[in-house]
Amino acid sequence: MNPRLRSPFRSGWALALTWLVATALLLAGCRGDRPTDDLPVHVQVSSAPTPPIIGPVRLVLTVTDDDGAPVEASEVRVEGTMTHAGMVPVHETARREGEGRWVVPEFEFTMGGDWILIVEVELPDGRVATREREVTVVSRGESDGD
Amino acid sequence: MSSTATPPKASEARRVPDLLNAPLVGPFLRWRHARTVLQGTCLGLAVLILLDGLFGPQLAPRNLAGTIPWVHWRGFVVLALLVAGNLFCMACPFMLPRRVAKRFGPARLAWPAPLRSKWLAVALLLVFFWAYEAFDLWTSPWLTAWVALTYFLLAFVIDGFFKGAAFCKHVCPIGQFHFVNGMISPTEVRVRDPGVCDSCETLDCIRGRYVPAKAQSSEAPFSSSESGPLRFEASSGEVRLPAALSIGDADASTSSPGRARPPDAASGRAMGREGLVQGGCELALFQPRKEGNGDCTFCMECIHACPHDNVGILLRSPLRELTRDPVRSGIGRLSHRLDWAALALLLTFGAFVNAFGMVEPVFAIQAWMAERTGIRSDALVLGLFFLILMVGIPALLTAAAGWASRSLSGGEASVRETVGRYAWSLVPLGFGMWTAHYLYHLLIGGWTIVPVIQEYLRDLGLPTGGDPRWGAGAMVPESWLLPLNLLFLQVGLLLSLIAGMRIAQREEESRRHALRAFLPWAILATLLSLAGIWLLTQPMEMRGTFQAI
Repeated sequence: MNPRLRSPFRSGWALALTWLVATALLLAGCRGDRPTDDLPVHVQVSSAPTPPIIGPVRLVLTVTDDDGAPVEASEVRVEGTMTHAGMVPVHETARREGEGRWVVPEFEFTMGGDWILIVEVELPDGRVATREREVTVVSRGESDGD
Repeated sequence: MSSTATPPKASEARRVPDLLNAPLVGPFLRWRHARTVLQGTCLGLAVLILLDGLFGPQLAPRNLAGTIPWVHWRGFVVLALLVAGNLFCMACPFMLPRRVAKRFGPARLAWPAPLRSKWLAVALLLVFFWAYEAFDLWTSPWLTAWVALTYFLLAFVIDGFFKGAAFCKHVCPIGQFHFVNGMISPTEVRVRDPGVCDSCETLDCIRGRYVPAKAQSSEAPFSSSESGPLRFEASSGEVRLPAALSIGDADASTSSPGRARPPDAASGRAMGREGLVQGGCELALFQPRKEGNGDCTFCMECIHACPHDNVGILLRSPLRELTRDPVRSGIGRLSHRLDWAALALLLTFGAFVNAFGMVEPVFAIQAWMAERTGIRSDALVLGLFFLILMVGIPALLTAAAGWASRSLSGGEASVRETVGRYAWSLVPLGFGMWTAHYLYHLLIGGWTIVPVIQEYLRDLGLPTGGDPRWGAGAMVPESWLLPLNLLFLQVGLLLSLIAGMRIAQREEESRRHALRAFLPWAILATLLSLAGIWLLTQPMEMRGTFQAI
């Protein structure tokens, strides 16, 4: 056997590598996409202006059940994150404006491009429904306005 | 007229600062297992990235595979090239499994002669740039993980079957990025004192070191001590080989009729790997004739192999390599290698096209192209777009510059030869653009790794040090970014102009002719730089996933 190739294996590198891979596999097995809830909650997001522009945008969130009836929620939180890693996400708590209607008056989109809005609807019993919506943010000239 | 290899005098060479003599870093790099430790660390990180990419949350900003490769790794890669050298190849994680392949695979086939150039790598690099945009790789941890996995598999399979470092030299797109942009790095793996090489009879730096013959079995085919008349003659740059020593797969284009070529690491393997205690250069770079960082992976094999401790990691002027055109071991003269020039141009123009993909006007252009051509497939439109911007326009512009340069100076070289000489002057500008782009991502979002790791640990039920700090992001004030980016670009332009002028002075017989020859390349570099300024001042958009053309 080639001693140059053999020596690292003798000196425990193979053991360390095996340990590393096994540990990583074990750890990875514990992590995954969060389980999606099966709560009958639907969230519709609209913005003013449409499509949303860079800067403050008014977001309106309509929360309904399977039949389209408004859902009573205790809190609605919105996180905006870009599809490209490395951008600081935006977190806001929505204000209730009516049955099933929640508003973020000034949601600050910090950059143009593709965003994912993660909406968490906390129900009165403490359960949380999480829904994701995708929006493309454009510069001011590209938007049609309100 | 082209310069010949003029190694520095021994007395000068000794004065050059050497990274191997630096405190802390030096002793570590001299340690035989230094590279393995670096590779092992990177491999561990790569395994985590792979697993999180395949099985973790698929929201890129919350996944290690969505964050580390596209924000941190790219930023650190350009930073390393800028201030040190080809550190990524030194610590390349793909090489550890490859060692296993070398151990168990046949690893005896010669790399096919038609592929012994950079053309395959150029094509793969083009495909990668296209795939990056067409599949929005940065948005998909799963795809990112598959790209990395494909890398591991390719390195494993190719080097398991073929001699030497075929994957690094002829295939790896990341390696090519480093080989070209590393040409302006401030360090180089180089012989300290050429005089020592004059008297060297073993040439371990390229062939590797074997245990003495008497320690081997009767079947052991070769040992250094038996090399006999094998000898390097510095005056002629030739190597006298014993008849029994077969030559492996050194790049065919480096051979000269009637000249013996340096032995390569593969020659040792051609005779059997038994008895090898320290490998030589697997990329066919013979130290006494090695010039610069082209094809050098900073693997440090030659450093460890040299029995005279005569190879170091020496500091140098960043323009030294681009402005000289000696015969380079394993490569030949750069000015004669159209494949290398194509690689340099692809990476230069690619820097601008890659950044162009992140500003608003690109989407309007793509939509216009789709409308005009009637092509409905986004991927095909992007493919066409890339072919035009990364192949068609660079070919046209450099051919025009080459023709103008030749005409103005009255030179006798063909347009192709002229392009081959001056294409290298554009490399600093391209690297300036890569640096501006990749450091932008690192500096604006470097700290986002903190909450990602916190969430990762939380998901595993481990202590996180509090709630994930999603507000962590920029490493410098945002107002610094544009000035910094413009600075990188303009320093790149300045170095390109200096390199272009020095190349012209090298090639032309008078200062007047040199100025004339240089002028078209200066105009091209300036135009590219202006395009870069326009790009950097555009509102950046990280778009792709949802945007239908």
